[in-house]
Amino acid sequence: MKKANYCVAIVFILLSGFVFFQVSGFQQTLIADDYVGAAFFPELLAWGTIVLAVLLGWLNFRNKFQEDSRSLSDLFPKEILTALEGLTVLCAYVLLLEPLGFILATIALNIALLLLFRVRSLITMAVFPVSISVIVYLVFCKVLVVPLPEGLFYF
Amino acid sequence: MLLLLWNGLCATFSFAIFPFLVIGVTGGIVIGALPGLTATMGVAVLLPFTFGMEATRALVMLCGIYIGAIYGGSISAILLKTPGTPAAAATVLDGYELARKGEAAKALSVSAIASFVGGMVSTVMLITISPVLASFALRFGAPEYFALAVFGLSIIASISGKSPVKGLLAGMFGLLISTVGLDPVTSYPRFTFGQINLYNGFAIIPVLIGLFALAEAFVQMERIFEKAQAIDTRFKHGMVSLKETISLLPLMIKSALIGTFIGAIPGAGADIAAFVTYNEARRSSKRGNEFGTGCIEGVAAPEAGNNGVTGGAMVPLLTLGVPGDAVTAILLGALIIQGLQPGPLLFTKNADIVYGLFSSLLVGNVLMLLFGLLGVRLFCRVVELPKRIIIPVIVTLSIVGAYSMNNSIFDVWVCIGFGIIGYIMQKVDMPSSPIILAVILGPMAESNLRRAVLMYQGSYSFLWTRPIGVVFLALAALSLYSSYRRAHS
Repeated sequence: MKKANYCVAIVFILLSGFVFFQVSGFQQTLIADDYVGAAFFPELLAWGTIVLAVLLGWLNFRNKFQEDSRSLSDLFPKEILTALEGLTVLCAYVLLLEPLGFILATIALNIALLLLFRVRSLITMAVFPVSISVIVYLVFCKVLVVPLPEGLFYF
Repeated sequence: MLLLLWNGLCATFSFAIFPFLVIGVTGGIVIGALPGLTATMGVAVLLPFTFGMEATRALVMLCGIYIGAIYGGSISAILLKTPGTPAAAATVLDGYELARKGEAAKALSVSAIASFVGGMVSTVMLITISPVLASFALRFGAPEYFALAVFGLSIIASISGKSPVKGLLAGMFGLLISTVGLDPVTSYPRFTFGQINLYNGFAIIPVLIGLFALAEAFVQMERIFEKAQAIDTRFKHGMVSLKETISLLPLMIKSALIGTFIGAIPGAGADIAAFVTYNEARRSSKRGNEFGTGCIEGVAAPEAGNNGVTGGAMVPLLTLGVPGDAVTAILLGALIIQGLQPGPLLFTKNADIVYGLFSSLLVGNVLMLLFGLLGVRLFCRVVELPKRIIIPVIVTLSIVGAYSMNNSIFDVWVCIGFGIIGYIMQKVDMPSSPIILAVILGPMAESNLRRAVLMYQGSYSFLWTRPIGVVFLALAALSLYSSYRRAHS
């Protein structure tokens, strides 16, 4: 966990550096803004973030956090692959959402997730994805009149 | 006020609203009972269902989900040792021990009754305190709103669990996110990278759904092949007796009042209230040593406390437009989507909606008690639903929720992006609630700070010359100090 804490501190310092870099490009506005223009607040926050990130690193160095012997591999075990596969399926779904339409894409998403979760029952594989997709579509599109992507087949 | 309340009650029992309240409370209990689905996530996921609804109906349904879910969290906490919501974390300590003794029915019925008492007390407090606070809030100018935002943000430290520093860093990240888009004073585009979708900043709903629902879905995916711990949920003993209930009543009322007070503080939520009331019950009880071994007071106190937050959290939401916790942050979004502006003027411009909401909270708590007592056996079956079915449902609803806000695929990518961020944050023990509070309070803090500086022609003297502002800033300092002390005790 100690390494993870250092990583967090470094990420936030880098984030602050990025904010400073971006803010330096903000053009001065024409109104008299008493030095509180567009760059003022992000700059203030970036300074605050740096102070807190350094404090986090320092407290971590001084072992001020509760005893936590988890290593980086404990935090990110091999089971993380299932979550990464789920994320990949999700990204593919979003890419297919507009071309295929909500119902077809959502059926595909749910079948893919059930396969990923090693669901063996054919009945579940057949009934669940279709029913969840159709129910959500009907509730959103027909009952609440919230439009969803229509795709090639208009549903 | 009584006439408005009566009209509100009549409206609540009308055919146009009552079914939505029933759906909200029932749905909330089910969502809360499902491990991993929090009240925040339930309200966030189901928010898009309300886009097409009339304002009162939408708010009544969301509030029903809120109060139902806070209670529902105790069901899986008692039966599975898995709090359905963070608010039920304190209930596990004695609730699960009672269930192991075969007294699950007693624990579940006490939980329902305590939640009802907590909800009713806090709603009565909300009705009586809100108008007073609303008139007080009318005196607020830019400096006061800035100080209030700082106070709200300061409480991030106390809800940051083991490490206030990590919570504050998460809060800073949330504040930085809130600066994306056109500058509120000069309209200069900040951090937009030429993306027109970013000109209005990040929409709050995809951020919320990503950080809470999707992040939790990823965590559950990782644990999908773990075997769940199960216990014998057969009931060896009946529900709590009337005599026991009466003896627990003073404790429930005290916990409800503490919960209401905690809820009214922006940034403090039901999880904190539950632990504070549990500790107070333990401290003041003659059977303090028995806490943690299956003591019925250990269930009654946190449940009355966490449901006490439901009404309390709405005090700053309705009167000041400042969310009391993460759920009310989403409710704030719901109010704005419905074209309502929370704040003192809400009570004069939209009194019918406000009192309709109060009435529905009262009726919603009665419904929660009824469903809670009648559904004890059924809940045992709901919590047994396999994760392999629940996760695809969560993912589908999350994507639909993120998309339907603006009919934008960009928002879906934002939701997934924040889902990944939320997942990594959970891994490194970093709370994600501060991000939500910061995203909500950030624009308020920035625009009012800059307005105040402009009003005072570049001077910062408003920080010590405006009494209300000074009080809020002092409370903020106190809050930070107490968080520091708690973290080091």
